[in-house]
Parts: sequence; structure tokens; C-alpha cells
Amino acid sequence: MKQAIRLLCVDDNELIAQALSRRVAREPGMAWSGWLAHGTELDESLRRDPVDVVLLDVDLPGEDAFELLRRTAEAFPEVRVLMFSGHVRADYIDRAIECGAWGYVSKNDGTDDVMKAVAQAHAGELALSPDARLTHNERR
Amino acid sequence: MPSASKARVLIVDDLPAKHLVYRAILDNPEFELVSVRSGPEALRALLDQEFAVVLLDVNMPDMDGFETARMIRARKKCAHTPIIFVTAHADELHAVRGYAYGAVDYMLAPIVPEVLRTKVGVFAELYRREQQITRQARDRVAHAEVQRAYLAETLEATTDFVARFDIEGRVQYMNRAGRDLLGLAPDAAISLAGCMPPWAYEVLMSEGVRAAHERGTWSRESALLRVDGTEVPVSQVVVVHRDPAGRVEFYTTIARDITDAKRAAEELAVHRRGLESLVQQRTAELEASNRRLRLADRMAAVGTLAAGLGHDMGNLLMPIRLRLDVLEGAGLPAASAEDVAAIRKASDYLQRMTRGLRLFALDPASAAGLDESTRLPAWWEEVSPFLRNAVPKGVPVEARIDSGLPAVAIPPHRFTQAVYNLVQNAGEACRDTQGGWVRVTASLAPGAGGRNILVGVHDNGAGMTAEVRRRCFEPFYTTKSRGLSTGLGLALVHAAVAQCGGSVEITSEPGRGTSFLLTLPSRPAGPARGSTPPATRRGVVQVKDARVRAYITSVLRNHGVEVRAMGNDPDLAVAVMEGATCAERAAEFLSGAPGRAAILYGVASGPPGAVTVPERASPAAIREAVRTALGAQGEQTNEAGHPAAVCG
Repeated sequence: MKQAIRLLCVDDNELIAQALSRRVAREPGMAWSGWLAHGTELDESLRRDPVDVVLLDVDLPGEDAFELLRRTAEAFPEVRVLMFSGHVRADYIDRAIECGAWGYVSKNDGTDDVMKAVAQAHAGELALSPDARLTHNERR
Repeated sequence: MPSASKARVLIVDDLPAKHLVYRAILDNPEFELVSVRSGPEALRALLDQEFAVVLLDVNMPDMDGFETARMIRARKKCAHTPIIFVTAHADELHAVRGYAYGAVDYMLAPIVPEVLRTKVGVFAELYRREQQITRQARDRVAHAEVQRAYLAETLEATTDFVARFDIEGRVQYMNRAGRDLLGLAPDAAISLAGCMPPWAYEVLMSEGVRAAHERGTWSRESALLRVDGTEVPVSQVVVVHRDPAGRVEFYTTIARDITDAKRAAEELAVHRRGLESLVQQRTAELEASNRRLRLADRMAAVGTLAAGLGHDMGNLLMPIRLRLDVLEGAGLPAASAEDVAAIRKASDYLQRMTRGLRLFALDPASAAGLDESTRLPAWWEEVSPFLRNAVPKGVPVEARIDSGLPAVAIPPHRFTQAVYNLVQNAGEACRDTQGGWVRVTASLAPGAGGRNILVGVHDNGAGMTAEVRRRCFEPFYTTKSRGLSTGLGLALVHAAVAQCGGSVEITSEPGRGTSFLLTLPSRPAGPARGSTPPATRRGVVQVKDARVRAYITSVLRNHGVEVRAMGNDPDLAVAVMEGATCAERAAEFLSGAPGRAAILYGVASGPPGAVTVPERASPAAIREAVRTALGAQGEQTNEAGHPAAVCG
């Protein structure tokens, strides 16, 4: 049996994180690795507890999520980081990919789309949720 | 003049004594007495002078009084000169009476002085009056002659057409201006019917003449007919002339050429109509502009609202929906499952609205992409599967896109959003229509120098009422239930089209379908987006970095390339390679089959026809490289003879 995809969420929104943990728990092939409210904890968390995929909120208060993404992608190349946001902008998507993201997931897309994006990134595909894909495609 | 002051009296008698008697009796400054002694002498005197009266002795030798009188009467000049016969024989009076009446009298000798003076005085007075009347008559005739000449001169000199005609329409006189106007020779004969168009003549002879009879004059706009057959518009007056008994003698008509006035009036009317239509047009434009402004205001407000709301709603809805997922999988009792389903429905609606709202947000990145354009046939190939999914099953979506259209100056994503919304609406409108269809058309818009493209989304579905047509672009306006529609779709279409400087028109009728017509500016030159080659091409991405590989794969797929994991198939059309030997491998690959494209990743140069992209290139650079490589297939290299290449 394949190893379950270990998923970590970095989001200051506790509602999302807790709901996501419940959803992931019942998603076959996925395992919840936990939640961080601050990006500053990410590096240490990944060292302590390796994961496969990270959902990283773009709007972390007081932090530059793209800079955090860049550092994380360099330090942990095996970890596939997906940007996770209610803000879906073509320039954000480009910047995310440039900084090492494996995709961009819109919080305005369906929950299944989130699960699918996580699985896609883990499978080695660039993962854009429908909303993000629509926004990105126009700039292809 | 003596004749004017004195009456000349001729005395004819052979006896000198009689002469003395007459002179004594008629000695008066009013008379000038001329004495002669015979008939022939009298005739000579009458030849030279005019006399008020002749006193003629009947009994004279040689030529008697009667003979003399006969000869006097025979002369025209003195045929009416009064003659008084003088005789001593009463029996001769009968002959005198029988001789002639009129200016003839007689006296019996011996003469009674008082009687002679009275008779001569009467004739002298008569003579003076006659002279006076003759003089007055001559003066009047002369005056009338002057008047007539003056009038004739005036008539000939006036620039108006003047003619006199009788009740039968025969022209008795026409002035020079009239003849000139008609183009008539000076001596040519003309009838009134001949110098007016039949309709004008008809009006003149019926209405005009009748009115002139009643009121004395009649006037209106009419026309004359030139000899060459052209009509001359005139302002015409008819005056009726009657004799003292009130019988109509003739008519005068005066006509003035109003060609210039009429032309000026027509030009003025044309000008005024032009002005009126211009005012109407400008008013309509102003109204349309105001409507657009109002709409734009609303859209901007919605955009501002949406930017923040879209984000917040995502953050709230995502956890709700995640929890719903969990609840739905928890095997709840039926009643609870129903509650959950209701919450799900509401959250789905909110999700759609949030996504719709988000598209209103003024995205600087999208604005930066406004210089991008869409090439329609390629765009259609790419989006048609996506659009076909937007309509209910069984409703065909067909396209009629003219070939050779210039690119549309609207970014593909905006365009896709707009058309997607329209197609989705069209599909919904057809849901209950037997044999419903949706059609997407694109052609060059008429006018505007062929610079605009007309994109239509048509359906034969339910159609729209005038009210819906008027309001459908307003944000949050919807005819569907809130569970199905956010009322943002058409507002988005409008925003997208307006942003690129285009316009939207709707033709629709309830029960007869709807056509949305987008007039969009074209972009004639420069690289256009949507230059996607056919989607059946296959490719490989041989790049070690998994994430770069994933991204390039994603971009290629967006261009319709079917990306395989590995391979060296002969049907491969696109290859992305890296490494030290990639230039040689690319050259070999490109020469292996026509129409192939090669992208070299992480190298500075490659063989002709290959596109290079440096390591760690930006997503934009990678997209550009893919676009160039796919677009350059089969195309010539640039002017420097080098392959088109993109270097991050």
C-alpha cells in the first residue's frame, strides 16, 4: 500500500486549518500532519516532522509568504509547497511558481479541488485549482 | 393766340355796305371779323383759317350762298363749321331748312342787330368751348400716352414675369423678363397653357381665376415651363381687370422666379434635419454615455467591494465546506442530512458569488495583460471543450468563426470569461427549448474601417423581455433563482468588454432567442495570444528538475500539447530538452520530421529552429519560449537569420 500523503497547513485562519484537518482525516491516501499559524515555525516543523505537501497561505499577517516559500523550496526540495489563498491573481501565481511553488489553490474553489491539487502536486504535476487555472491560463 | 381768345367770324357778302353794317353790329373785342366779297374768296379764307361761324349771303353773283355752303361742307376741315345764311326773301328759307341741319342757322334781312349779335355770340361761345374741350382731350390723350409708355417701360424693365391673358387663357402680352425666363424668342407666340406645366395651369385656370374673380387677386406658389421643358418654381399673382360695367376684360399675372429661394429653403431644411438628427444622435450618445458611466460606477464599487470580500469569503466558506464534507460523510440521520444539504446549497451559492465577485476586482496583473490579444480560431479550439461543458446536455454549441480575422484586443482570460458567461446563459435559455442550440460567431464588424470584430453568442431559447434586456448588465440583477445565479455573469461580460474598449448589444425577443453581440477592437499587428497549433500534437519534456518539468508540461498542455512522460516516437512534435548534448539532439529531432518544435532548457544557444530558455527562467519566460516555439513551427526565422529565441 502506498504511503499516505502527509499534509501540513500554514494558515493564520484557525477555522480553515481545523476544518481541513477534519476533511483530510477522511480523505483516503492523505494524512494530516498538522497546522501552523505562523510561517516562522515552518522551518523548524519541517526539520522535526517531514511532510510531503504544504498548503501555504499567501496572506500570512506580517510575513512575506513568497519569501517563506523560496526559503522552504530551497531548504526542503522534496517538500511540495502549494500556495493557498483567497486572492487569486495572475501575478501572484507567477511569483509563486518562480519562488518554487508546485501550484496555487484558491480558497474559492471546492474542497475536492483542494484535495485534488494536493494529490497532483504529490504526483509531480503542477497543481492549479480551477479558479487559479482560469486566472493563470490567460497568461500562459 | 387770337383763336383762343377771340372767335373768328367770316362775313361773306358781295355788297360793301352790308359789310359796314355787320362790322358795326359785331364790333366787339370777342370777335375777329374777316370780310370777303364772294364764295370763292370765302373758300380761300376757310382754307387758311379756322372760323367760329360763317355769315353767308344767299344772293351773290357767280357762286351763290348755297353753292358756297355746299363747297364748304365738302371740305373735311370745315365740314362742321357753323354757317348762318342771310337772305331778304322768306321763300328761300324753305331751301335753307332743307339744305342741312346741325351747325346751320338762318336770318332774314333786314338784320336785327340784337338777333345777329346773339346768334354769332352763341356760335362763338360754342366754338370756344369746343376748342377748350379739344385741347383738354388732347392733353388727356397725351398724358395717357405718357402713362402708357411709362407703364410699358416699367413692365419691360421689371425682372418679374408679367403677362396679360384673356379668359380663354390666350396671352395678350408678355414682358421681356417673362420671355427671357421662358427662353422665348421676342416675337414667338405663346399661350398660357404652353408656358406652364399642366398641373400649374390647371390650378391657375380653376382655383386661381375663380379666386381672382371673387377677391380681385389670387396668389400662390406655382411653376412656369421653360421652352426647354424645365420647370421654374415661381410665386405667382393673378389680378382680374374689369370694365366699368364689371365685366371681366382680362387678367394680369405676375410671377417671380423662386428657384434660388426654394433651393435655399431646401438646403436650410436639409441642414436643419441634419442638425436635428445630430442633436438626437448626440443626445442618444450622451444618454448611452451616462448609462455606461452609471454602470461603470456600479462596477467599480462592486470591484472594490469584491477585492476584499472575495478573500474573506474564501476564508470563511472554505472551512464551512470542509466541515460539510465531513458531515456528509458521517452517515447522518435523514433529517440532519437534509439540513446539511440545505447548508451545502447555500454555501455553493456563496462560493459562486464570491468567485464572480472576485473577477470584478481590479487586478493590476490583469490590467498589465491588457495589451494581450486573442486570436479567435486558435482560442476557439482551446476553449470549445470547456464551453461545451457550460451548457445543458444535448444543447449543441457550434462556432462560425471567419478565417483570417485579426486578433481581438482583449486578453484571452477576459474574453473566455465573457464568452463562457454568455454561452452558459444561452445554454440555460435553451434548457426548455426543443432543438435548442447555442452558436458562437465571429466576423469583421461592418464599418469602423474593418478595425472591429463582431463576436456573437446566439441561442434560440427563451429570449428576454425589454425590461430584462435593459437591466441585465446591472450587477446582482438576475432572472434565475438565487440558488442558480449570482447576477454577476453579464455584469462581468460588460466589464470585460468595456475594459478593452468594446461594446455589447443585445437583440432578443421572448420565445425567439437572444443574440449578444460584442463589438471588440482588433489588434492588427504584433504577437497575438491564442496562436495555438492543433491540439493533437504530442510532446515530451526531458527536464530533470521535477517542478520545472511539471510547469513546462502544464504550459504545453495549455497549448493543447499532449505531454508524455518519455519517448522517442516518430509522431512527437514538441521536445523540451536540457543538458550538454541537447543542441545536437535537438538538431536531430528537428530534422527528423517537418513541423517539429524544440525548446532547450538551461542552455544559451541551440540549433536553428530551436528555442532556448535559461535555467531558472521565470514562468513568463517559459511561457514565452513555448509560445515562440509552437508559433515558430513552419515559420521563417527572423531577419537576422537566427531562430526566434527567448532568453529569460
